[in-house]
Amino acid sequence: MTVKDQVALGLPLDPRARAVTPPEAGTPALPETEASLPENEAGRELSEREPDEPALRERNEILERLLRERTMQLILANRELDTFTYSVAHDLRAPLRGMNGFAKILLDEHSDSLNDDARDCLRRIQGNAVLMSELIDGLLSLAQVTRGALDLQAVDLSNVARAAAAEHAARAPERAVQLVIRDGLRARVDRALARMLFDALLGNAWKFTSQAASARVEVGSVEQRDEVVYFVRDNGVGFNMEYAKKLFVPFQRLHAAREFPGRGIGLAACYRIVGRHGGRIWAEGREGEGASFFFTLTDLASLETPAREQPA
Amino acid sequence: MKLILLIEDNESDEVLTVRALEKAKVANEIQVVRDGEEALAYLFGTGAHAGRDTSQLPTVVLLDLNLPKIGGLDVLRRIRADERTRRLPVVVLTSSGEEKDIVQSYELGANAYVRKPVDFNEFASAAKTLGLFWLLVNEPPPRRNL
Repeated sequence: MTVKDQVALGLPLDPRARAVTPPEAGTPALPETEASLPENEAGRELSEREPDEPALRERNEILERLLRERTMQLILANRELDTFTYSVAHDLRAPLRGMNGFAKILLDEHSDSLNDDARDCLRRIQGNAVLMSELIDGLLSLAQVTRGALDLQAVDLSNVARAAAAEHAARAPERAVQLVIRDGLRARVDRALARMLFDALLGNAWKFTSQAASARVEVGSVEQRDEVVYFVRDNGVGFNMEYAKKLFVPFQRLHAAREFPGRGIGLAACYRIVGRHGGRIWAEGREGEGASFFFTLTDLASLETPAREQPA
Repeated sequence: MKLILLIEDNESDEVLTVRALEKAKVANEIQVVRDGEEALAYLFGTGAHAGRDTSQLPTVVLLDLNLPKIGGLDVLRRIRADERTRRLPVVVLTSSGEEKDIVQSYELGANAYVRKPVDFNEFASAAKTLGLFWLLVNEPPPRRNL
């Protein structure tokens, strides 16, 4: 995977974040770096002979120079991406407003000279312009997840989940959802991104239990092989496991918009948020029996400081 | 005399904004300028607007950010830097919902920031609300202190 690919995919560009990206989400930078080392000779000799100081220093200098070059490339690529995102935000919306606006003016002010079919077409033009602007907003919010530095701090995820759930509950006060959030879920994360993560997962849980007789949403964690796995579980419509991989791809939806509204952005954002925290996310579900979303969050801070000595 | 100065380079947006404002029937006059340079020329009575009575300031300025020649944020900066216009109400009216633009606009002294909705119903209602508030509800800074 080249740097460009990585940027295009929105994968973490912070070298530290990159180093702990799980294998399925990113490739370690090392093989590529070694392949492009111009001083291959020096490298080979090093491995054949006892390491001597000048050679080591030379190799370090090469690596440092490469690192500087790569960092520069990343900064430039990032800047370009920012410009691109900005122009998407700004320039693509104006023509849509024009389409929507003038269709509306035709409908409002020239309705007498139009038949039902023409009016229906105009309404569809309007609807499509609005839809496209929502898709653009979705893309932008997705890009936002991968921009900016992570502000890692100790966060009470239970509280974050409760706050997000309260908002969903307030938006649908007529719904009776049984909510179970385990106390004391904690992690070192970026608080704003953690909030987005729970917003999306709980929003889905709320949405897909809307037809359940007695909706139940649960947030908790389990220990699996020395790792904390967090989960958000619901007893909603669920999904067919055959399509589980599609869930995290932007704009992919497993339900008709008519049945459950949405743009297919939430889980794609979750994938990126979890990826930026060095974790993984996956889903389990069954049609008609609910869905569970699992994720891990690596403690990035513990990876930055040298590991403490293990007791003998 | 209630005058709105609309600084907008996109023709469709101009037509839609003017229509929405006219429908709301709040302004006596809407003056449109199409780039940042012309906006400053209008406000300070220079260039194409040389000789204009600059004591006649708009009641509110609706400012797009993405403008040819001199960008919207620079226009705002120049408005705030000049004694004659530093208290002039300026509403940023733009497509951008970028946090950076919002923060910078307020830093530079924008009085309000409105993101133009794509849906014309929402756009028209935003324009109406804006017009009503800035022209009828809001108490403008006294003329002599502008």
